[in-house]
Amino acid sequence: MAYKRQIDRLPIIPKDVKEFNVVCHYCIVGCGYKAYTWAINKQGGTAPGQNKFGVGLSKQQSAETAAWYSPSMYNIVQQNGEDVHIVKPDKQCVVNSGLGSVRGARMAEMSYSRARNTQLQRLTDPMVWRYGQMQPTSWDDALDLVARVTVAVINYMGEDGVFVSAFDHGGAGGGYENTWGTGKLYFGAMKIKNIRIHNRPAYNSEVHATRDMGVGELNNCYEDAELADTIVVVGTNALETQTNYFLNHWVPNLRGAGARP
Amino acid sequence: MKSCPKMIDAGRRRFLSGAGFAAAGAAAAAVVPSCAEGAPSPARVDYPSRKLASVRDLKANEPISVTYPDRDAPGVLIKLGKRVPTGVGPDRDIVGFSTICPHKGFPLAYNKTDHTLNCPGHYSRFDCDAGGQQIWGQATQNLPQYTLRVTANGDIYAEGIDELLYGRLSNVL
Repeated sequence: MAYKRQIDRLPIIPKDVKEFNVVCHYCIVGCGYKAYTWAINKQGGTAPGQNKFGVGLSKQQSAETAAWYSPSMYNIVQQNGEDVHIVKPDKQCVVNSGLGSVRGARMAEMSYSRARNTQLQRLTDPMVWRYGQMQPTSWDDALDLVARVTVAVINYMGEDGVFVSAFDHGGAGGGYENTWGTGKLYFGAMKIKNIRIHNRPAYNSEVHATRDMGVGELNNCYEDAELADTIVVVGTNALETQTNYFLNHWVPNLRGAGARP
Repeated sequence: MKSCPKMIDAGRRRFLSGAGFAAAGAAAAAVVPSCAEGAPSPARVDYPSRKLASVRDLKANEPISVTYPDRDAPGVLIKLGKRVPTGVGPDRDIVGFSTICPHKGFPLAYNKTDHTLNCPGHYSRFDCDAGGQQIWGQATQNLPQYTLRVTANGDIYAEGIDELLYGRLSNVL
C-alpha cells in the first residue's frame, strides 16, 4: 500500500528569511531552486504581510503556484545553529519555471539533518566487499587493497590489463570533489587506457557509438528544443531522466507553443 | 512536558461566571491570563466531519465528484467494485481521494479501466486500488486519501486526510 506521511501542514516561510538561489545537484538539467532558512522558533503567518510570498495563505492556491511546497521540500538543518530549511523549485528560473522532479523536489528531505536522521545515510568510511557484504574499513586498508589488486593485474596482464570503473561527475560541484583523486591517479600518474564511468561502457556518450556515427550527444540548447520543427530522439528517455528539460522545453513545443505561421 | 494550569483556572472561572448572557464571551476573554508557554499543538489539524454521499448513491467504478474539507478542495468518491485494504462500506471497496495533483496542482481524471487517477499536466498517475500510490510521475507524495466513516444508514463521512493537499500549507484553511 501507498506510504503516507500523515503530515497535513507545514511551517509558513516568514517574510524576513535568508533566501538563496541554488541549483539542483542531481542531473545536468540544472533546475533552479530557492533555499530559505530562518530560525527554528519563528514562523510566518497566513496574512499576505506575514509570509515570504506576500499572498493570503488562508486560501487555496492555484495550480503552478510559487506559494506552496510539499513535505519533501522541508527539513530542519544546521546553519550557524539550528535552522528551519526549505528548498523549493524557483518559478523565476528559466530552466524549470517552478517545476520539480522526484529528484530535485526531495533535496530538502534528503539534506543532512540530525533532526531527521538523514546523517545516517552519509558515507563516512571507505567500504570494501568482504564476507558477503559491504564493510566499512580504514583508508589505509582500502588503498592497500587497490594497490595489491592493481599490481597483481599488471604482473599478470601488463599495464593495459588494468580496467578502471570509476565514479564520474555529479552535480553541485561534486564532480570535481569526487573525481579529483581518481583522475590524478589513473590519468595523471598511471596513464591507463581503459576506464568506464557510472552508467557507461567506456568514457563516452550514454548512447555509446553515437559519437562514432557523427552524432554528438547533448547537441542542442533548451531554446532549440522549444523552437525545433522536428525533434529526433534516439536511445533516450528525457521525461524520466531530464524531466524538466522535457516538461518545460519540449512539451510546450509539442503542444504548439513554438509553432510559427 | 509542562502544562498550562492557568487555562484550567480560566475555564473554571468562565464556568463559574455563567455562560447565559451575551457579554460572557468578552468578559471571559478578558480574564484569560496570558500563558508564557504555548499550549501543545495537536499532531494533526482538526478536520471537519462532512457527509460526502450515501452508499446507495454509488455505482461500481462510477466516481462522483466531492469536495473536502471545504469547497475549494475537489476530490472523488469511488466504489471500486473490489475489496481494497483502505476501502470502507459493506463491500470494503469505497475510497475517496483529492483530485488535485500533488505535483503541480492540475486536476486529475479517473481511468476506469485500471482504477487510476491521471494528470494531464505532467502525466503523473496514481493507483486508487493501492491507496493512491504514485505509479508514475514527479510528485513527491502519494495521493492524499480521505479517512472515511460509514454510518449504519449508509451515509459516508470524510473525517481526515493523510497527506498535505496541493496549494495549501494546512489541509484545513
